[in-house]
Amino acid sequence: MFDNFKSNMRIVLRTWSGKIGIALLLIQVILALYAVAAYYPDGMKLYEQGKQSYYPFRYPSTVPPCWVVSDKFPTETLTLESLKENYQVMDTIPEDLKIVAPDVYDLLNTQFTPILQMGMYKIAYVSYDGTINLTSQALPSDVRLLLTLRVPSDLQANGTVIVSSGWMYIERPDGLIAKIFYAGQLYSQGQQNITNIIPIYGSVTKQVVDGNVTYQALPETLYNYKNSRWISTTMDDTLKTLYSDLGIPIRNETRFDPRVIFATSENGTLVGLPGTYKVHLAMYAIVLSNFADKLQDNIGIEHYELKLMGNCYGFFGTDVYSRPIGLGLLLGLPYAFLLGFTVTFISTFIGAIYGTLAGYWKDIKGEILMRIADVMLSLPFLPILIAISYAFGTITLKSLAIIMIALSWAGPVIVVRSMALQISEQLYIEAAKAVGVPTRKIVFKHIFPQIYPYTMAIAVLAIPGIIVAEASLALLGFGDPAAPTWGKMLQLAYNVKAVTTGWWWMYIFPGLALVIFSATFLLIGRAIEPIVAPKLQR
Amino acid sequence: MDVRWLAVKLINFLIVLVIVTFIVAAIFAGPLTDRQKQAIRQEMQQLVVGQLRQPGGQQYKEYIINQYVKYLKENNLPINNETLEQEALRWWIDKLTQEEIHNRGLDKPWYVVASRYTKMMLTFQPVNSSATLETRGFFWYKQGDKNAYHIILERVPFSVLLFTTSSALTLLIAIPLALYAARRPGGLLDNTIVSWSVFSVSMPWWWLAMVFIYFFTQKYHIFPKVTENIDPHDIGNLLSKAALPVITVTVLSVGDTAYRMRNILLDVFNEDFVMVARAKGLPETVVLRKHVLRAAAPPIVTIVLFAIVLSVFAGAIITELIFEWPGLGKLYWDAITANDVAVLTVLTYVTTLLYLVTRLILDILYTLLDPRIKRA
Repeated sequence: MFDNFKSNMRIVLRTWSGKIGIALLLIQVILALYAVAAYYPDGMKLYEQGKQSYYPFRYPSTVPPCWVVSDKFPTETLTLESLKENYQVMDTIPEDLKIVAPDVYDLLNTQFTPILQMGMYKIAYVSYDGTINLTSQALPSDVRLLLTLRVPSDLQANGTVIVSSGWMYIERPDGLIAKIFYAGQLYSQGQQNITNIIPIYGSVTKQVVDGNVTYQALPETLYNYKNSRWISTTMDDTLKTLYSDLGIPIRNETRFDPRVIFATSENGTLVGLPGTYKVHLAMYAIVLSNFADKLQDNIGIEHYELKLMGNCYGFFGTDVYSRPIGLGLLLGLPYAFLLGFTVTFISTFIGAIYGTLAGYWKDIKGEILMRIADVMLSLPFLPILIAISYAFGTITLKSLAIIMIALSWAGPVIVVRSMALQISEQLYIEAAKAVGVPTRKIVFKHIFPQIYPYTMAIAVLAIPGIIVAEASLALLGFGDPAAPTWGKMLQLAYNVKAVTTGWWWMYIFPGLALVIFSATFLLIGRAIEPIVAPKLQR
Repeated sequence: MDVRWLAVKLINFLIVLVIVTFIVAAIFAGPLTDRQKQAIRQEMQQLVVGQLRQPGGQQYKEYIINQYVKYLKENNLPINNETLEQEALRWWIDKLTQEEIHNRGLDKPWYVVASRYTKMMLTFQPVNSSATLETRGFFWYKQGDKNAYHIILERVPFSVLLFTTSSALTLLIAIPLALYAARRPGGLLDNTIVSWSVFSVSMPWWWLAMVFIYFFTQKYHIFPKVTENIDPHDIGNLLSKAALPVITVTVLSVGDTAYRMRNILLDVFNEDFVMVARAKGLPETVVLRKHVLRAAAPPIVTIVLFAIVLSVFAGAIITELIFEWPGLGKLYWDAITANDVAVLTVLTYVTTLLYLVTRLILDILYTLLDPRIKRA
């Protein structure tokens, strides 16, 4: 058996398709093993679950791969840990909140008046003065603030409301002052801490104070946090004024672009304004709770950061949820292997045994088996798969595999049956029958082992179809919500209209990964075919 | 032609059709019945509310309340006077709904319901769309028709236009390529065809569609932008919109088609009669035309056509979606997003029917073209 395998391998490796196929397979197996070792299970879960809270602060959102960007801006973290003494936990609403975040002030005074009167709130307050140096004309893609609060877990569970807001005051090298309000969205992370990621988005109002032009980004952000989609609103006049003051042409902008803070215009395009930026920022997080008086010493600020997100990431870029595309490609690989191999090998095995029996039984039993297989072969694969997925609602990868096996086992039956027919007419089978060898033994010991290698080639050649079908289903919205597959990456690209927005890295790379994966098995399958089915040899 | 053989084929086809239709009906039986039950409840609600508004409404309400109180007493349930009226109305509507569901036979076991749907499909009984889908006024139907068959039928010409054009183009390009490649196996063209077939089979067609749209409409403005607005009566508009989809599908199917043809031709080139013809000193063109092509034509026509048809059902559904091309594939997406069970059911049935019929036709064609195949 092993000698046979060795000589077969040698024949496979003699063809160029075999060589390339085996090499690609080895690389992908190593990558898949690495993905499982490094990311199973937490990292894989995080890929789906962390798209709101984990990735947005760590990676820039929707940026191209670095090799296409000429003017790179590396993601720059301005950790403000060293100024920890600047933060405090207070018992009163600071009066300047009325000026810097009037909506929060109003909210607290109207909606939470009873709680406020009972003193059931804590305010975590951070302020920071510092500078940011931009050395080149490269622009950050985004500016984000991170505020991690330490809130006890029992307090989190008891209807605690956390309102967070703040402001940032940036004096640019050219003397313009940008004053930006920001409102945040809270995410629970782990047991103890609540992390607040504050992307700065908003419309801008213009104020002239002491001859300085001040722009305010209002907290009515244009970013809908609930479904993470941009709401397209028309650009208002103040924003247009800001753009025209900076000399930036207004094209199709529908939202305040945070890059504008650091930008100037050069021949109509946005370029960075190098120099020193003076930053003053203040963040508030107001914790309202029934238990605030009991837990006053446990509330605090764990960590805060100001981050200028880069304008490119890695070799593959990132998607709209800031997840690196390369990570998605890596995590999708084990799933592709798992689905492709399970479905094709199990279904081909079932089909091979079924076809062998259908060929061995030349009476009515074989005829019935063939009729059933004929019905199965008459079902168009993808439409029926879509129908079943629709009837189920969302389906997990496991049930998808079972459905795919149920639909595709009949594939090899006809070929296998004709092979089994030929073999079962051989003299030694007749002899075995005459001697009284039981059917089971004849089928499994004499006929099936001869057919088995050929069905393996069929199985290998069927893998691409399965992977492509999964991707197609995912594109229609029937993907497994928990599994990071390439199909779902493509679906995300389709959903955010990446083709028309020009985010090509979001679909080119997952598609290429799919093509390379599928091609691997086609190449190997075509190299194996002549060995196992000698008729095809030429 | 053997009539008995044809009759057996047709009977076999009909049996398979019934079973396959039953499978489709069984898949959709659950969602379809749920949708119908919802509709019945809405209907009953409207009925009761309408009757209450009419002149004798007050008596009707009292009657309902009396019935409800009677029901509560029979079952020893507590009577809550505050919410009695609301509860009674809800109970009455529920009761009417249950009765109507029973009358229409929707509470029967799934196989009974499924066989009823099977009968409805096989006899092509008109089905109305269960959500918002309606005809869009292409070709022969007026806008706003809710018949699921009409919604589907007005999309068929789009799919047919796209895939017959690209199939014809594919054959036109692939035949010379395959002939040339088969005469020099291992040559540059041959290797190109083999590698391209590997790639075209292993990629989702709709992915290449995305890439092509990006390159040809976004980066280089060679083709018009992909939009949903298509006017089938404006031929120029139609053709300009169809150009990129046709090119994409052709580029993809040429690879595998040429590869399959090349394999068939290689087999024929190795046959003895070709060697004899060559040994006789016949010119190569004559060998090709009279001996090779004549022997290779039947398998080429059928296998290749079958491959194209199969690929239509496999990959093309979603290719249409990417191109916003309003064919059957796009209708799948429309029905799924509109959550329209009725249209999706009929669509799956029609697709399956088309698939079965094409298989039957190709099967017969293959046997007719190739006398070596045993008719059994």
